[in-house]
Amino acid sequence: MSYVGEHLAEVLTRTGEHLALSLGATLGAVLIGLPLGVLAERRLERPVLAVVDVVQTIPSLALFGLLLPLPLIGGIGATPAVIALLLYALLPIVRTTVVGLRGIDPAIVEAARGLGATDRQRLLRVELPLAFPTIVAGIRVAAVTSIGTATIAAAIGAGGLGTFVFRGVAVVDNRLILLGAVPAALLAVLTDVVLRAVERRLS
Amino acid sequence: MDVALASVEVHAGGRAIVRDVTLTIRKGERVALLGPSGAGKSTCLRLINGLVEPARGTVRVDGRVVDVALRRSIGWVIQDGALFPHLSVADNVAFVPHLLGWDAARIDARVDEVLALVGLEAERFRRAMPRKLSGGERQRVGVARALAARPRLMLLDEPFAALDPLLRSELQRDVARALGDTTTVLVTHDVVEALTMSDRIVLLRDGAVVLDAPRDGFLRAPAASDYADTARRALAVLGGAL
Repeated sequence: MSYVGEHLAEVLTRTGEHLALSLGATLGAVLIGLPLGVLAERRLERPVLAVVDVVQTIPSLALFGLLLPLPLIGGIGATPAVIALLLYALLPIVRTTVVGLRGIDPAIVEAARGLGATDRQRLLRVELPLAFPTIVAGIRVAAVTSIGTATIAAAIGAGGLGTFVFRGVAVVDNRLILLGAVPAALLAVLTDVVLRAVERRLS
Repeated sequence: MDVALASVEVHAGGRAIVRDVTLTIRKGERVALLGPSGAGKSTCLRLINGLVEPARGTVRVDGRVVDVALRRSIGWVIQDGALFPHLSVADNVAFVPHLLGWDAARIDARVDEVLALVGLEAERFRRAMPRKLSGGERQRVGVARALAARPRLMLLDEPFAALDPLLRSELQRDVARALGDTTTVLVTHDVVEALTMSDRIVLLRDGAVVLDAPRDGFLRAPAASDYADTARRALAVLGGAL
């Protein structure tokens, strides 16, 4: 306990960094993934899903490494880390957007068309609100995955709780590893619980 | 509104589901499209509000091709109501007025008015969600939603088919009253409903119009003999039972 006490200030700082990395990535993934999901559902399903699928298959450490030499978005630090996490978070959001839109009763969609809604009005007033509970499930998966993967971002100097883990591995100190791993796990569980509650309220 | 279908054909799955249909409906008429399942009735209705494009022929409403803007002055009611499940009764009814950009006070007043018109108490139903409503109430809201923006043409696609017989006749009466003298096209497979709700009946079989007659002469026409037989048998049974 005293060990935790000694490191408390840094644990809090690292937790803040960790949250900023993973929530920033999740937010970005929502902003990009939602329109991509709509696009995939409307006409470009195969190419869009193929791209986000392929990103998912790249090992995370490799993706962080691959971003290092890129201009503007690459290098070391938080920016490439957020971008890598964002790319991982896209898949669940794009997929659940497609599934959510597909799951709407076609009679409801036709009613909106038949009453004179434009494509845009139909999407914003009828389809997205109805698909939203499903999309929130995707956001939850994206957020929880980001919190887990963000631990590895410390490898490219992005900070976060992974810093303790890498330091602990380097000096073979389990206490240091746990100092990073336990709060990261707690964050993931907490996020999962909160977003599940949101999902239940919506559906 | 006037409706004109001229030599219209619609294909689906490699065959014609509407064949050479020519039909003119004048302002103020109440027309029923009657026929068995698969006769092309619903497709004809969807042609009128532009949800289906003809492979051949032309469809005009008030002389124009139906677009999104024109659709807002055409009321549209489908089986089970197809209410928006995430919107309250009031927001469902306000859907088209919202699209048209009416101000809030005008929408509020119209929602109350039109709910009353279909026999629903506004205070009780305004905030209700569709899943809490009975089948009959859902359909009343569906009609109210279609009437909200004062359409000049009403299209109804089997609106009462899912209701039990007692409720159906009650709703037919209430809806007929709510529609007033609005030009109406009703799709139904029920000859009694067609006779109750319209002045003119168009009989479709296999995608083609086989009879277009005023209500009074309809059952005497040879093309409607099977409907006349069914009606006679029903009358005989009812006569005995009453």
